[in-house]
Amino acid sequence: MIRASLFVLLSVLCGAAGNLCLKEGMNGVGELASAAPLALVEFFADAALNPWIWLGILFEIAYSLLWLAVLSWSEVSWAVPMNAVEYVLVGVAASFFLGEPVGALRWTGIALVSVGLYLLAGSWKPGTQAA
Amino acid sequence: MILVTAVLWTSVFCSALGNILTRRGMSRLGPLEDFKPVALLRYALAAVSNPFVLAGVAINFLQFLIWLVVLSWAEVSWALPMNAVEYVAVAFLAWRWLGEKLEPRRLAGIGLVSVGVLLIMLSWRGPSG
Repeated sequence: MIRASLFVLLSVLCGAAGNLCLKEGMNGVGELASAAPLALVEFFADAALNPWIWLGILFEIAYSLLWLAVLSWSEVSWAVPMNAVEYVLVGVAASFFLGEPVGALRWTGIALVSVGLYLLAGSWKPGTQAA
Repeated sequence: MILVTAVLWTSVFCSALGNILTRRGMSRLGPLEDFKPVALLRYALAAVSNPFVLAGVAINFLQFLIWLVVLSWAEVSWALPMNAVEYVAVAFLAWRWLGEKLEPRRLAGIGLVSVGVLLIMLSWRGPSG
């Protein structure tokens, strides 16, 4: 349960880092202006030459591998909702590092998710072999 | 609006289905226990040559593309609560198709997490958008 939870956390972190890198990369590439063949080639060439895109892809690959490991150990009705830990991390990080105001409604949500995650984590049991 | 909603539901269903298929494949493979490099590589190769895992990963990639389309149409804060729907959908499908037993503790956990995510989403729809 601890190992599986740790891997969920790692995969969520990799997924989030990957999304941030891809977003940063796509900001550099800019919007796809037209669907003309040349514009498309230029668009994908720009994306393929952008180091943020490559870093993002590496994080996404790491995320996928970690997630496969999680699903080899755990039931999927346990693993998928465990991903909600991302909401807690984002909420707390936005409050502490970015000084974003977090209202009562959002703290309530974060608290509910946290209690839910605690219950969920404790409900882990080794996944039984599917027939 | 109807189109956006339909695509959104398709995206949620694809995501849930992808995870169910991947889990089915990985449970056939058995739990990953050996972390030595050669054993890891062998395990990874076995995983990507399992048809259930392949189908699951392909569907999840498709879902990622659909999600990009959704995000270009809809506000993120409008589209994200669907994650909470996904937790419930996965639990239902895992129970029906994979025979996973949902004890009270897990059901309570999924319920609290889903309601919590919905509240967090509601809080994002404030004046700042």
